[in-house]
Amino acid sequence: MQSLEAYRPFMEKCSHCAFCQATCPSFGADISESQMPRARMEIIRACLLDKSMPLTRRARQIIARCLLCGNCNRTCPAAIPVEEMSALARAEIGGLNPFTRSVTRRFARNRGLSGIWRVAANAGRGMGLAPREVPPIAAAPFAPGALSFPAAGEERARILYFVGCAANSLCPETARDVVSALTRNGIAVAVPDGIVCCGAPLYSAGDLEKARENARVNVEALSIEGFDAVVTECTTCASFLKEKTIKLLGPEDPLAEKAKALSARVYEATDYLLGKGLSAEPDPAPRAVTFHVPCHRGFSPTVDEAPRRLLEKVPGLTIRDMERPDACCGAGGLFFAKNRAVSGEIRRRKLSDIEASGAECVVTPCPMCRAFISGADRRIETVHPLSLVRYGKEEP
Amino acid sequence: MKAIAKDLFRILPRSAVLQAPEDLLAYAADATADLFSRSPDAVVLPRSTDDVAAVLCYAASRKVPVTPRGAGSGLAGGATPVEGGIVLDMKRMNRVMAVNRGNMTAQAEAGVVLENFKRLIAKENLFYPPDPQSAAVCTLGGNVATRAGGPRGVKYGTTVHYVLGLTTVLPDGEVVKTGGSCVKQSVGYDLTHLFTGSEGTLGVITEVTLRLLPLPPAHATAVAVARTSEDAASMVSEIIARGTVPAMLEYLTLMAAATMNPTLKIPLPLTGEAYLLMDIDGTAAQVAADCALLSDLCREKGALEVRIVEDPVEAAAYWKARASLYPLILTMAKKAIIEDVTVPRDRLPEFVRKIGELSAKMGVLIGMAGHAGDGNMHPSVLFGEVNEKTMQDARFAVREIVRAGLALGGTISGEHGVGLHKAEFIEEEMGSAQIALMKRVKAAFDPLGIMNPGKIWPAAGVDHAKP
Repeated sequence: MQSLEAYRPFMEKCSHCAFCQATCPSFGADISESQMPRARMEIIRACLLDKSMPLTRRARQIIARCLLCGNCNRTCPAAIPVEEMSALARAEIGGLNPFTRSVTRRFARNRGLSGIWRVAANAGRGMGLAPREVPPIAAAPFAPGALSFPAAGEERARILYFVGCAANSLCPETARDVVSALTRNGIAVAVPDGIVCCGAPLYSAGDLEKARENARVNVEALSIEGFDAVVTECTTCASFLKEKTIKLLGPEDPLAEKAKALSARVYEATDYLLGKGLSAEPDPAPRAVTFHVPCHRGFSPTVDEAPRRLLEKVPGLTIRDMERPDACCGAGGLFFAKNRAVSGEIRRRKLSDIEASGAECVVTPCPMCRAFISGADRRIETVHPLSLVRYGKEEP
Repeated sequence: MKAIAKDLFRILPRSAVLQAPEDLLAYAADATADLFSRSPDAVVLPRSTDDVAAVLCYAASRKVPVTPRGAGSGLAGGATPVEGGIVLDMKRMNRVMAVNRGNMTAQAEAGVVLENFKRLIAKENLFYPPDPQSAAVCTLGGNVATRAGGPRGVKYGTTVHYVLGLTTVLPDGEVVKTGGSCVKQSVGYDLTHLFTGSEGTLGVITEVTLRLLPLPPAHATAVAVARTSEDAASMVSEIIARGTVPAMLEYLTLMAAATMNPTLKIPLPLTGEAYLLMDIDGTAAQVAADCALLSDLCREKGALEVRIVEDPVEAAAYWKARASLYPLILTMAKKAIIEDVTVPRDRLPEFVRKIGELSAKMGVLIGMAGHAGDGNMHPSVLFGEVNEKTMQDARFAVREIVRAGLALGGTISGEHGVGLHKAEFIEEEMGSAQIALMKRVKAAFDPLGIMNPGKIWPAAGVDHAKP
């Protein structure tokens, strides 16, 4: 992912079959062909590569209206990565205003905000400057630095826990649940020092330089000997560490080899725990749940089903599958903050599928999906799958 | 802003009209983009039959060309605005009004996506067989307008066999309802089936009433590997002649199999020159008996291997790969011209042999994959390099393929429609008397000639059909 120009061969492979209409959430919300990946790609080509069309406001709008879910890439029989073209096009156009950029960069560096920044951000949220769906920033982040938790009972594995920004500073209770579920299953957990945001929000905002910088920091911080795997509770973080980091750095980067080695060891937490197998039956959880599959699932063939298959082992839990569990919820990271109408329309469909399922609670690993599905009024309960894998009252 | 868009803003809500050059670019072509592309002057996204009527009233008053469009996934250029004007994108008209289990019919708006429709009626154990390979995106209206088919044609026929009634807006804005919900109809001229397959040249279909079937309870997928393409073709005619009718009976060449293989967990063995991919449906007992019969028959005809795919997930992967064949081809070739020639089923071996000879003689790569069970082949001219010479060769090859099909009593299109790209051949198939009669029909419906001009037959004095 070094330049848009490198994507020209992909563009030429497009047969214009229109299959990308089937799963593009942005197209689904608008139902006009201007918003389908085929057209977005043509517009990117015309405005930024061939320069046969001027880069108008409308062109920018169409390019910006991609949630970067990757459905186009997965649906396209020729696997054309329109999503990556959108990200590169945004980088070229320059997406964020200087203020938002500086806040995003700061948040990404610290995996949260602290001190005066936190107070200011929460106040801004209160005043409606930031969407109410995003939870306020917690006073104490889960992991301000390195942490380590021994396995309960016999140690079956040792992992490095990459705590995502949201779990670190917006919903630290999720991070605690993840650590508890892992350690109680004989997995020793260590949070390394020096990790920063995986880079997804920067990538989404078109700040590819900073995303690369973060990728490099994480590759170094996570390349520590003595651990069986790198595990994260967030689907998007996992996809970034596993797939996008290599692509962003490119084969010429001095860290390219290390990034590759890291990629092979990265897992999403439920996928990892399912692979290891539960060592004991969890506590009963007598409730009816439904599963939402986050978009950034392409990095593992089993990650989409993993939460469901893991929770099948929780006694008392009733699973009520919704239709199209893998349809986008509309969040798209922080896409919804700037595209309320599009995201709202995508969410409307998701909510009707959720309601039809009859479940009382939505289970999904992605913190932004959880926040956005819950809504500003927190009407719908959403939980991380590992928050339902509990053992007694004992804290880790 | 163009005058047309300005006028349209006066009669429709703002969100229903697109006029920016970027939006218009999105509607310049369909799945035949490398063959033809021209932006319209405006795009309208109607939500009701009334919206469509308002647009046509306006278009008639100003003699503005109107091109109705479903998903824009067509392979004949039928939904491209060759003379500019207005593109009517029907996809926002996507309500299913009624599914009647007692009468086994359904009523839906033209923009309903085929796969969504199938999923919805399957909940009531109902089945709508037509299955163009673009089912995930193509629309019921587009299917009716082109008489779309698909692999199930062999057993179940095509869209035309399921259309019972239509609501159509005529080019002057008048709304007519033809046919109805009765499965037998015997009154007056069959206008319903005149609009069916009219490719938007007579009016705009806004609602359809379709006949449904009970959902078959059991399925099996089978693959037969044939030593030669003629072996495979003769297996097809033998299967049909013996009266076993698979729900789908697909013919694939070695090249098509190789193209599909990367997407399959258990790849096809690349040992034969041609392959038959079959779906057998019915009751479990029927399916088992048919599978046994088909296997024996293919082996009798010299099949190198017959494989019954038991795992439904695996079977689905085969059919998905088959459906993706057209887009997949472009990962290997720079360009592909997909033909839709259909021949009587007993002439299939001859047709296959002729195409093979033609390919060898001209040194042009011609891929073959098709719904062989109904004689509907899709010979595709593939090229590695796009230049004047290869384009000329391709144009010549297409002409020869078409002539070979016609000489065997075939037709130039089994399911894609004539659109833009087959327009130059229609007279060869139908003869001047039929064309003249059709033009009189066209004039009776559309005296101003505003409905999808340039399609079905070439516009006078204009050669839109670059190969």
